[in-house]
Amino acid sequence: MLQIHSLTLTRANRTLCSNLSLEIKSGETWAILGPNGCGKTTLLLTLAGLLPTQSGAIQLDQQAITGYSRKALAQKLGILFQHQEDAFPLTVREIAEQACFPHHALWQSPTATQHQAIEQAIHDYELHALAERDIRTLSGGERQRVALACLQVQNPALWLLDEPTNHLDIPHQLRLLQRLKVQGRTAVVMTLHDVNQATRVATHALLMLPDGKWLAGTIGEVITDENLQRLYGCEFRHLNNKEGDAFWVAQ
Amino acid sequence: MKLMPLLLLCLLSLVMLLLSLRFGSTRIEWPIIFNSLLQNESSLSGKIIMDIRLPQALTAFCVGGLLALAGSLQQVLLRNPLADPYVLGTAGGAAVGALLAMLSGFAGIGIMSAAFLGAMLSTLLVFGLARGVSGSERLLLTGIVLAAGWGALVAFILSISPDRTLRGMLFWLMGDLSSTQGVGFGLVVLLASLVLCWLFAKPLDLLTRGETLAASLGINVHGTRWLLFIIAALLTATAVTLAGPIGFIGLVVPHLLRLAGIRLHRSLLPSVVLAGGSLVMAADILARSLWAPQQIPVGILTAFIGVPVFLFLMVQQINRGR
Repeated sequence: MLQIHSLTLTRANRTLCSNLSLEIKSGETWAILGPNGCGKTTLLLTLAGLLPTQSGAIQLDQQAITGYSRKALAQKLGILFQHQEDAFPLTVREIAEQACFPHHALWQSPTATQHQAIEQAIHDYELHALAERDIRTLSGGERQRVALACLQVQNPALWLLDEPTNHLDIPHQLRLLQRLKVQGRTAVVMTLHDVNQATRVATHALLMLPDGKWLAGTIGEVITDENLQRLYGCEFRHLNNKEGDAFWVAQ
Repeated sequence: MKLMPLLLLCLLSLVMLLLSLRFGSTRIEWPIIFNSLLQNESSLSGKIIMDIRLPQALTAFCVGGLLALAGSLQQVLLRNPLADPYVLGTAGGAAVGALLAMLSGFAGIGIMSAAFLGAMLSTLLVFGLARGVSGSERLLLTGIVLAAGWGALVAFILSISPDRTLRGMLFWLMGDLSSTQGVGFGLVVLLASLVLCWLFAKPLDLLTRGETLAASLGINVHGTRWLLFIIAALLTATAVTLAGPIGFIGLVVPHLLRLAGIRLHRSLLPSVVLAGGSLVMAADILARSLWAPQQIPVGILTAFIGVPVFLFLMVQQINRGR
């Protein structure tokens, strides 16, 4: 679905990752891990075509993302931002309706099917009580749920999520991870801070190491005590539960 | 789309139009008003209505609609409800352009074009200087400083202008609706811009939530922004050419309608035009009758309303930011 060819990202004369090449297939869930400021968000924004690439190429369904119109791109990939600030009043339902925008002409209203999808998303993310509230009056976690519901309405084949569990309480985190796990034919790329969440939900991981180096592969291949130590610069040890699942603890 | 508020605003505009015909230096009775509107009334009152009051009321409506629409577009561009063609200096730029054209002996479309150039230059300066800066406060501050600069230029032009044109220029600068030439052209600009912007109502809704978010949902942000820059400058220039820089309409009107629960641009855009038109017609009625037979420039009255609303909005924004 998404192919990255020798992509090099720099920011303020610092190389965030050099020569990154990997392929993300539908059905896969990728976790991007790395310390603060390593370029996780920059990478996601670049993959969404929202930041220009200095070198390297990104292809979505065999076509360079620079060759897509914004609208065609929005039909195929959707992104969850880390911050979203609203200056004007809009209700949660109005915001959910905006997520249909990529799928029809400039002035059209959502169709009956899309209205169903909106209701479904409002239901899935437990937004019923908030549907008519002004977005500016919601808490951080509530806003995060609205943004995730919007992504579900937008319904792209590739989901790019910047710290999707941010602000969410533990039950909502669990439900979200569960939902991401059973996405089926969609592909998910997300940045995370919690190694154990990554191993729980992701099939693959990309570790953004210091000095622009990186490691990519299946969870089993790349999530090891040594790699995590290289990544974060602190010692890691893993513990196994009765079922044999591994959990990582920083020392 | 909510139809009820729109119908109410249409009714309000109609009422304001009728009141504009009735009140002024002399009060004209209703039967005479309706007679003159429906059939030719050759009396003096009939002449006053058809030749003076009706064109002036239409000019007031047109200018109000133009400024309110320009204000709502600039608020989207800045993502800040404090934006307004007067506050951002767009109207000031248009005024300087128009005054220079007047001084050089241009008339009609020449003044209009110069006003458009001034408005566009001012817009480009404001948005160019604050490019790449996150947060719209700096943009707003740049606009306010620029507006002061345009004010100084206006004063300079006035001081070198010959005495015979001075009083006319001064009145025009404070908002003067009595010269009604070009109101037909103004109404065409208003209607055409409204239709065009209305087609872009959804991108406008998305742009209010941020450029990156709008882009991620399929908006061509660059192209849409340019379109909005140009239309906002054109609307401002047309309004300024018609009646001088009248302040705060673009600020007050969208804010009041948002408070009334009209949030989406599909409803908001036609509503601001009707409400802006009604507000300037109301201000014009007061300006003509408060000190009758003396007329007060209408811009003075809108400033009396606009300044408290601006300060209130700013305090609200600061409190929310905490």
